[in-house]
Amino acid sequence: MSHQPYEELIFEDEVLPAEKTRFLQAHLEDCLRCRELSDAWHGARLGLMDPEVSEPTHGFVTRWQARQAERRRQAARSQVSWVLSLALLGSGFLAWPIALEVYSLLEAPAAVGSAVIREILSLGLACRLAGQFMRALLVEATAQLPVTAWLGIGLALLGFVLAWALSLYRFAFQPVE
Amino acid sequence: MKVVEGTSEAVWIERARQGDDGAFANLVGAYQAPVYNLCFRLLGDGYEAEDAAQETFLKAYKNLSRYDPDRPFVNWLLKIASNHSIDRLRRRGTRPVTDLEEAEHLPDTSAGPEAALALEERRRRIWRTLRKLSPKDRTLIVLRYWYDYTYEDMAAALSLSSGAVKSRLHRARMTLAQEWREREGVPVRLGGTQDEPSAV
Repeated sequence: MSHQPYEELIFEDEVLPAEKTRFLQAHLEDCLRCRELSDAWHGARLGLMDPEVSEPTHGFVTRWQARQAERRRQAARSQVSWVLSLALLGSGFLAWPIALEVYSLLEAPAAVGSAVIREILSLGLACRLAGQFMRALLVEATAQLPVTAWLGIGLALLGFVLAWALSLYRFAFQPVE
Repeated sequence: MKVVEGTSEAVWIERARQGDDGAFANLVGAYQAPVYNLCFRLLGDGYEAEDAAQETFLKAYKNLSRYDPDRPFVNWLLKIASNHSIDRLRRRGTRPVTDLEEAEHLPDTSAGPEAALALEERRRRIWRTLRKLSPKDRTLIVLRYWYDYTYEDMAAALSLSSGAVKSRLHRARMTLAQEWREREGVPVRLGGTQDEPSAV
């Protein structure tokens, strides 16, 4: 026979109606298995009625706040690591063609000196040309632009620099929420 | 609506959602006991329960945007706590934990030393019995008998169907009864044996 309906009555948490109680009692008188189950369950149920509430030790909130702050620091550190790793990776990609160039130069050591001198000379020439160009531009711009325009340009440049610095700071150090 | 230190819980939640750490700290203070108690009941170890409760609040704060204000906040917290504790129990596997078993509580002698000892013995025995259950079944029993959860609440907390909750609870109660009986030295019969003389 199936004991399932009686087990459900034994495990019922609410008080049983009189009719169901009689029905169960009649079965328990005849069925040793269900009687043992009923006794055991009532014993276990008493153990489950323990009203004691365990509480954390004093200072739980403070410890939580400390843990929260530590997690934020960890997140910030991780963020900085990612930024540096990406920057290194990008630098690596950029450095690759340069490294190839240097390698090819080193394969012919005699050419290295002349190549370096040639590069320095061309760089100096480029700097000189750029300086002349900037000077001419400034002379021309000074003649054309009023002082207030210069002030505006200066302020705008300063604004850009500040915005750039702030963006870098936020990206690198502000914790991830 | 629960009132936390004179301010409505909803206000603290809203402030915490906007990033106010202090507001969430108030919620931690208000709900530390039920969350810790659940973790302790499930894990049976004071240090692990503290850690699990702390992690529960960290997770809750991080995922506060997912909280549905139409449901009780404490239930949402207990859902996170129970799932976190279940994960811990699964990771722990068979590693023994003896805090509850090894008389972490000082016996309450207000009802007399004999009654206190009996209560303590019953606590240890129920803990040993609970350890025989799977993490999810243990959680169901704890939520049902210590937190008065309904079947629907348990189903929502553990992402189970109501039918699964009922069948799991039935199985868990059966295991508890058998273990309880076996700790008395008499195993519960599993087969149907009618008309036999009673063993009790």
